[in-house]
Amino acid sequence: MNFRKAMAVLSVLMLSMAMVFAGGSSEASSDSKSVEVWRISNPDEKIIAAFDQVAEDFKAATGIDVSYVLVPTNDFHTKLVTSISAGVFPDVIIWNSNPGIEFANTGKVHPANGILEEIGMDQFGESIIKMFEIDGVIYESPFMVRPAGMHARRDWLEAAGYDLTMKTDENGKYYIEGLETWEDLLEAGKKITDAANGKYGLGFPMSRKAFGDSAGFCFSVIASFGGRILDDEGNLDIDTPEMRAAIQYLIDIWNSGAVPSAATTWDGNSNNQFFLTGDIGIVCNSNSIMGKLNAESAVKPEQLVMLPLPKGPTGHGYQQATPESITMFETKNVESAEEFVKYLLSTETQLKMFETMGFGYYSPLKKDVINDPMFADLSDNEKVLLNSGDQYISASFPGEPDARLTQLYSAFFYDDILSHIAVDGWNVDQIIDEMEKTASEMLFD
Amino acid sequence: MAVADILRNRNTNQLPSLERRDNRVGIYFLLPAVIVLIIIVAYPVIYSLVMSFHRWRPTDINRNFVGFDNFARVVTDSRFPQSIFNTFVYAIVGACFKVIIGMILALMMNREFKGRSIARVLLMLPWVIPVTASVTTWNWMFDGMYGIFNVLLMRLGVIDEYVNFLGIKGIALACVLIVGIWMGYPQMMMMLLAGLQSIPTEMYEAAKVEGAGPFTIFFRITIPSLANVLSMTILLSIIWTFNSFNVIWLMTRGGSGTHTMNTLAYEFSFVNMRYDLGAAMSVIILVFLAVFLFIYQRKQKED
Repeated sequence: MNFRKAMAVLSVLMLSMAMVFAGGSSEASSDSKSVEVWRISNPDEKIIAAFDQVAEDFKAATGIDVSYVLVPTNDFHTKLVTSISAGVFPDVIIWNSNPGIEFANTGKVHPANGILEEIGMDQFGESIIKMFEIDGVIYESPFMVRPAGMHARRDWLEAAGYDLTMKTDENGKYYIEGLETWEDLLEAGKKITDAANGKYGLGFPMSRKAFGDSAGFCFSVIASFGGRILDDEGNLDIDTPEMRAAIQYLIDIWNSGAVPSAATTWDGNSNNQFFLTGDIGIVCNSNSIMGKLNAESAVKPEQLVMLPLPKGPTGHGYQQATPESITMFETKNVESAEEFVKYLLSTETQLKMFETMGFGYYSPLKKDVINDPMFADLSDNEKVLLNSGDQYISASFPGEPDARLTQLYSAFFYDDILSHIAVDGWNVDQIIDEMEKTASEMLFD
Repeated sequence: MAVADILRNRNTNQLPSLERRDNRVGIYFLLPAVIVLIIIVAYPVIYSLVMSFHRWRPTDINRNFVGFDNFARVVTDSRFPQSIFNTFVYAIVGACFKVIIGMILALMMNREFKGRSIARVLLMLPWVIPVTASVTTWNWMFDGMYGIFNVLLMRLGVIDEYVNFLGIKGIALACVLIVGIWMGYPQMMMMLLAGLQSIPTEMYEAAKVEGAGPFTIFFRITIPSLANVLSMTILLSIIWTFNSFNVIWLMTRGGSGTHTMNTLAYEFSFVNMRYDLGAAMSVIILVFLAVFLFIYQRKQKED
């Protein structure tokens, strides 16, 4: 009997202890000489090797351990939100969706002003720093950018009569005659579409499943047409002629038949895949395509031409591609985190990373790195990507960084505009009404 | 014996002392399970309830009491009525088909034939394959450019141009329903098979001797003998299907008119970053589920 009683008490004690240990936060259990870094998981061995080398060199130089937590793109936001809601903050995250701005109100984001002043703000350009700054506090450090652009089939466009000679305007920006504006792009898309043979000119996802590709395309069109969500005073400013023109353009694209109907259910990989299999003529995507073209692929490297970003009626072309930034949180490892971020932003480290991983998936943002001879000898397609760096915009564009606009961007707001066009067949008035209702609820409630 | 019963017996002091001591030890053994249940069931439910009456966002530290505002926002959301309709269609139609298919297959698996073990394993596969893997495959099968269904229907001359199954309202809901049924029928099959195996074979033999045909045997012996198992299986299937989320979220993200109450709750919480609205939606779901659970409890008592 005594034995059974003892066993019962012992099992209660063991369970309690197990729960105490299991419930401990990572913050409490982490070593003060280590840094936990969350970043997007990428199967590319060269990128993995570059980051691993950084961690190894940093450990050798400072004695601080770096442990990477690799998170799939699709799960990054959910994992971050749930983790922060539970009070568990990573030391550092490297991501491209403005997390520092989004979580600025939690009071747990560690400002990057000190680090950037030490490195030199002029290394990044004012427009980039502004993406990460609210009321003088910089919540994220610009790291690199995953360049995005218009990937097009050179052979299809040439067969349709386009001369793809790259020209340079007075501002040093590249352009191709006849393919300068969104309207030009739509015309080209129609010309190269051969639906009867399963060939479509334009591969723009119009789906809720595209993890940023739909939203990025929609937002880029709206920004290029001069549309915006908030005016300078912070009031809703959706129903404008510019926004209406942008929505009408998106409807025209869908009605043109140049986009396959399946685009309403595409996921984040579909447009790349269908471009790589030779079914789509033009896709707007981050630069994961270039590295996959080779002599064995269905589309050969010489069949690819990168089109400079198309302009809207404003005379400007934009691409929603927030630079990949580094956000630090107020954890007990914040000093080690600062050391690591400084190391990661140093010119030597970045050049070494580019030596390992090459140009393509990442493009440099720091001027000393861009001006290095390593980047003087790029191909024409790579030069177009590098040349577009100052046309990348964040979800708060054209205004100051605003956490609410970042959240609106993540909340299917722009994806749903495309879904309403393609699935529901809505007109401009219906879409503007819905945008105003949703934005008003999300921004002002 | 439930903890309350043990405590009652303990207080009445009517049990022999040895049994009383045993019961005390029993309480100690039960305590860990009770503590775990409180932590993983009661605490989240109460937390959600509290959240649903506050303005509560993961990106903002300010949390004010807002009364029933969150519930009002949820029920006036344009997607709410559709999500309720879809949830009931998905749960009830899904449960019916799962049970019908499960019953047909259970009847087949209850017979002796060569390769029965292999057939059983194969039929269980939809339940065993990881959801993400099977949903990815289904997504490709329904694809509007290369999907096998489009290719087949085109070759059979049923369609003259490819159909974007998951991009058309109504058809998309039917597609996710098909996948849900495909993933859920094995469980029903196993439950019904267990029920079938408990029916004495003498009853079938006697019926055959009396000249009963297969239909008479099915409706006069099998169904009445399975009545209890069948009603519990249907009820459990409705509850499980009512709670399902992953198939719809992975296939459509709630697009093309396929939102259910669960996907909408998830969207409020983790896409719109409104934990408060997500919690309010969850409380509404809980009310619906409580009705099913009440029926389940009563049924169990009757049995």
